[in-house]
Amino acid sequence: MEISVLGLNHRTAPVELRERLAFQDQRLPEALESVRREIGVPECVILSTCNRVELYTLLPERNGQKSKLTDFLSRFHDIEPRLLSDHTYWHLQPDSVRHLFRVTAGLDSMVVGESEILGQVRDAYAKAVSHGTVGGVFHRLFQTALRAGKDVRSRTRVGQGAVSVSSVAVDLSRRIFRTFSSKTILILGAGQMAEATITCLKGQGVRSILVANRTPEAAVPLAQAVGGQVVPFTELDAALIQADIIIGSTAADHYLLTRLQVQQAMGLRRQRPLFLIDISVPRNLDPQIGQLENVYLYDIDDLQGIASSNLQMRLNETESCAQIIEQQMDGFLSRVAGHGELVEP
Amino acid sequence: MIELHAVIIFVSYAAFLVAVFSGLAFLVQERRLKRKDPRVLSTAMIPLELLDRINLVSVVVGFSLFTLGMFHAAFLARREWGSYFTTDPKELASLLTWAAYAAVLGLRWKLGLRGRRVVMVSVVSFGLVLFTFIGVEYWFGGKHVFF
Repeated sequence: MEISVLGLNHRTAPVELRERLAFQDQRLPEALESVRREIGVPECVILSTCNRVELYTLLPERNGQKSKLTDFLSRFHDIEPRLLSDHTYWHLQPDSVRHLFRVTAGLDSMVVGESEILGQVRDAYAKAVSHGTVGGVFHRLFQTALRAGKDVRSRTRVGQGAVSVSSVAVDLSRRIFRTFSSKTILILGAGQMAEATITCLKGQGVRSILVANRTPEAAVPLAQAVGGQVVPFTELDAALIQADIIIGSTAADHYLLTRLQVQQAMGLRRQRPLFLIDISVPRNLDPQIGQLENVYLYDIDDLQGIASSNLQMRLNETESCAQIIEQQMDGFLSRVAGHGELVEP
Repeated sequence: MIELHAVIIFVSYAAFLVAVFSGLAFLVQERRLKRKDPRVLSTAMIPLELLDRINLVSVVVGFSLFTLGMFHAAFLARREWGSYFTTDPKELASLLTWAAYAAVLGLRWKLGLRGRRVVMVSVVSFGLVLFTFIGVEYWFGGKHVFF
C-alpha cells in the first residue's frame, strides 16, 4: 500500500480552473464514496480550498491509479481530462507525505505561514472520518501532519509578522491604542481601496466610521458597505477632532490634509493620539504631519516595507521548517511501515 | 509616627518609580513608531495609550502620597523641632521634588500636554527623588538621620 496525492494549487492552475474543480460541501460525501468505490482505494481524504484541490488516497497497487483519479476529477466536475493534465501534480511516497506535511504547515500556501490551512486540513480529515473513508493509515497520517503543522508554527517564526498592508496597519494601531470600541475612523475618499483595512479595524472593535469625500453622494456606497456615516468635506476640521485613525485613499493629486490643520486639531483634541494611514498614490496626507507630537503617519511604502520584511523573515524560516517536517515524516514512515501497512520508505 | 512618615514617603517613591518604567517604555515605543523601526512590531509591547495612562496614574498617586507625607512631616517637625519648616536640606530637596511633579501634572492638566515631552519630565523628575532620598544626606547631612 502506498500513500499518493493528486492535486492542483494556486501555482499550477489558474483560478478559473480551481473554482470549477472545488468540491462543494454537500457533494463531498458523494465524491469520497465514488473515489473509494470506483477507484478501489481503501482510504481517501479530499482537501478542497480556494487555493487547492487535492485527493489523498491509499493505493493498493501502483498501476493506472493516476489516470483513474484524473478521470474521476474530470467526470465529477464535467471538465475535459486534457484540460487537467497540464495543471495537476502527482506524488507517491515519500513525496506525497512530505507534500501533505508542507501544506498543513502553510509552507505551500500563497502567503507562506498562513494558519487557515491547518484548520482546513483538520476539517477535510474530519469530514472523511465521518464518511468512513479513513482507516488506520490515514488516521495516523493526518494526525501526524496536523501535529507537524502545529510544531512548525510554534517552533519557528514562519507564522509571525503581518504580511499584508491592512494587517500591518492594524498591528501598528494596536501598538498605539488600548481599546478600539471608543475609537473613530475617518476615511478620506470613496474608493474601495480602504475597505480591507477598515474591515480589519472593525474586527478590533471600532464602531464609529466617518467617510469624507468631495462629492458626498459618491461616498454613500462605501459608507453603507462599512456601516459608516458620510461627512461633507467642509466639515473636515470637526471630523479631525473626533477621529483617532485617518485613512487617506483618494485619487487627489495634492495633499488633502496639511500639517497646520492637524496641528490645530491636536490642540482641540487635547493631544489624544492620532494614527494616519496614507494608502493613496500620490499621497493625500502631507508627510510633515508625521513630525507632530502624538501623531503617527505611515504611507503605503512604509506599510508595504514592513509587510515585505515580515514575508522575507517567514521565507528565511522555511529551511528550519523543512527540517522539522523531515523529522516528523521519517518518524511517521518508519512507524507505519514498521506495521507492514506501507511500502518501505 | 516617624515610621508612618517613612512608609508614606516610601510608597510615593515606589509610585514615582512605576512612572519611570512606564515612561521609559513609552519613550522607546514612541521613538520606534515615529522612526518606523520594524522592531515596533517584532517585540510584544503595551500600547502607547495605556503606557501614558499608567504614567499619569502613578504620578498622581505618587504626588498625592508625597503631599500627604510632607504635611504629616510638617506636623512631626513642629512637635520634634518646634517649627513646621526648618530649612533642613532634606526639606528643601523635598519641596523641589514636589514642585517638579506638580509641574508634570500642571503640564498635563493645565496645558493639556500628553505623550513624549511630559512623560520625559516625569522620568527626569525621578532624579530629584533619588537626590532627596539618598543624595541629600551624602552631600549635605542634616537632621534626617533615618536614611
